[in-house]
Amino acid sequence: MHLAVSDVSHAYGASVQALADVSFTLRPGVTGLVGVNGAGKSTLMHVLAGLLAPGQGSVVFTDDSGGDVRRWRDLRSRIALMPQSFDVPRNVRTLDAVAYLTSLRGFPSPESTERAASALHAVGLADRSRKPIRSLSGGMLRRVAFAQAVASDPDVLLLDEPTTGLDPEQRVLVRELVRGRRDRGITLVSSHVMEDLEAVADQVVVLDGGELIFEGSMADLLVGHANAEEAFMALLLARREPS
Amino acid sequence: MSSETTRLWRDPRSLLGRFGLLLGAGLVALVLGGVPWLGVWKMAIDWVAGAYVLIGPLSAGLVAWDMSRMRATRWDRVVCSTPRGLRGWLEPALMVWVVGVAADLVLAVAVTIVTLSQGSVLAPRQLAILASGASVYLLQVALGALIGTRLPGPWAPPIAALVVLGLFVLGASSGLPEVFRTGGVTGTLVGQAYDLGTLALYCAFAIPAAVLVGWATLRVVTQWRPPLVAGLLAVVALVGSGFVVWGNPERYVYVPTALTCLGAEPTVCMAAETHRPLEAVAAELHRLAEPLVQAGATLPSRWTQSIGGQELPVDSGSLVFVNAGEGASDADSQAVLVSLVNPGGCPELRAQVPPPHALQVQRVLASWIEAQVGDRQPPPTSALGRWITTPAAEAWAVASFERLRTCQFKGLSAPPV
Repeated sequence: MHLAVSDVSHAYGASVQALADVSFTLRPGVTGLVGVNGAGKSTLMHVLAGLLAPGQGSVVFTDDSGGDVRRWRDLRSRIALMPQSFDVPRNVRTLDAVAYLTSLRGFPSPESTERAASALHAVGLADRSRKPIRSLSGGMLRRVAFAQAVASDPDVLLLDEPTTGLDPEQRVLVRELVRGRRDRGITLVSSHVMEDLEAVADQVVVLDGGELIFEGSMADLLVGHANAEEAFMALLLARREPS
Repeated sequence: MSSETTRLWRDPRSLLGRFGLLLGAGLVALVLGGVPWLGVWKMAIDWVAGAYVLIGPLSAGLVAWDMSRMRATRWDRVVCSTPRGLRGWLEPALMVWVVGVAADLVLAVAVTIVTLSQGSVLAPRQLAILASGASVYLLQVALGALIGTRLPGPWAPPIAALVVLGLFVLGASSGLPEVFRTGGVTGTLVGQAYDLGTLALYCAFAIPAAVLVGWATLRVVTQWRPPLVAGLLAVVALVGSGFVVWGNPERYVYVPTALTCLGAEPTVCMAAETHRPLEAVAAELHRLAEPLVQAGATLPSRWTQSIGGQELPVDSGSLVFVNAGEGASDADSQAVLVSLVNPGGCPELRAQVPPPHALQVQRVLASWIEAQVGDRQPPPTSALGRWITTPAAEAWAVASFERLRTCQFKGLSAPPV
């Protein structure tokens, strides 16, 4: 199953065009979403997560032949978002927060609690699951955000800047977790840390100024460049050079 | 593991604490102005619905506190990305609403037990006021949520509570449509029932308004289609403007009510739903009527409770109660005295402006009766005091009573003092 994004546009007010006719297809595996600040990455994430209605265009699930399967709206329970900034009411226990969000994705208790516990275990927070959120560090909170997104084992996992604020050890852990999703549906990882994306992504989508400027495999992006960061900068320079 | 896990907004300890708090607030609202409803179930249920005067503002404050905390954490963005996002975002408010309604229902059960034990009767149609009150309470809670998502944390709870209390007060004082006054009637509602159409209108305004306000608390775009929002807005605007253009619809309608009677010569009849002090009232009426009987006056065959919308039977005095005295445990002697000098149930005396000389005659006649039974004597040095014990006064009293009984106001003459 694929997720087809077709001619999606979104504007904030009359003057800020965050996305302009963006079209691409997300395939099973890990896709990196790349762009400088303000490129439209988070807006696209929010559109895919249902937090923003696209001004125009559509997002549909398709089968392998490209035919529409169902509209995205009908498949919301199979999409999960790890937002860029994530917090929870501070007095809530970590396990409760993750279990609650899992239940909102359609899993009844006690299954939601079991899934939450398993996800917290996977991100190395099993020993903190009974602690209130306020006792967690910023890095731990990012891992809780990851855990709540993967606890429902979604078909489409949207990770918005998952490694921001993490120390090197935690970044490696998150990379491992993302790699572990490779065979479990579609994962879209937004980041401006190219090193992270190079380590996990099979496919790459590059946005600039709200427009799609590259869609292809990581291998294609790297052709002729030493690393993903250099390749990305070359793309930007090529786009911005006067013709 | 699940048994150890609280469900966020459904944490039993937290819910129980809030239930106790709201129950306490409702109880205070029920007893703060005394307990005139003690013997009248109808009035008691109306006061239970009126308990939202405190439950509502307190709930709005609690919800505003919850929502302001969540807003600060961007919880809405995560929650609203889930299929059950709107429910998840509004669940704290909905749980407070559920707890508040539960507290109000417990109060309803409690006052039902108390009033029935006092001999009152049930009128199931009156229960509709609880549904109407709960719908307005939903709007109160939604307003608390909206204020909580729009104002800084420390300010949101008190402002939400004040806004909701203000709406109730303005609704009760005709500054706003009466829909915001959930209950708290001052009379006993004897012979009356709620107009179910009016209560349905209240619900038709409050529920969509609450849903719209709840929707407005979201800072992210939801998948709601514009026609749904526009439809809700249209309903709220239509019903709301109806209140403004046509005024408050009648909340009560008159309904026939059964009487229960006691004694003879005269018989005393009260509405069965408010017959609590019947024995005491009958005894007091007989006691006060004794001087008239001794003087040879003709009493009507009965005194019947004056009930709005119902004609008094022929040859019946009008039994008048004040301050919900028909639901009290004992007879109010002054109210019985006023009833005694209304032996004809004359429509002239119930007019907006009764004949002034008739009122003066009633006052002096009441003084004569009080003096005869020894309850109160006018100062002996006053003209009235010197006159009231004379045979002439007795003859005047008998003649005046007869004219009041037969509604012959033209023949009424003021006493010669």
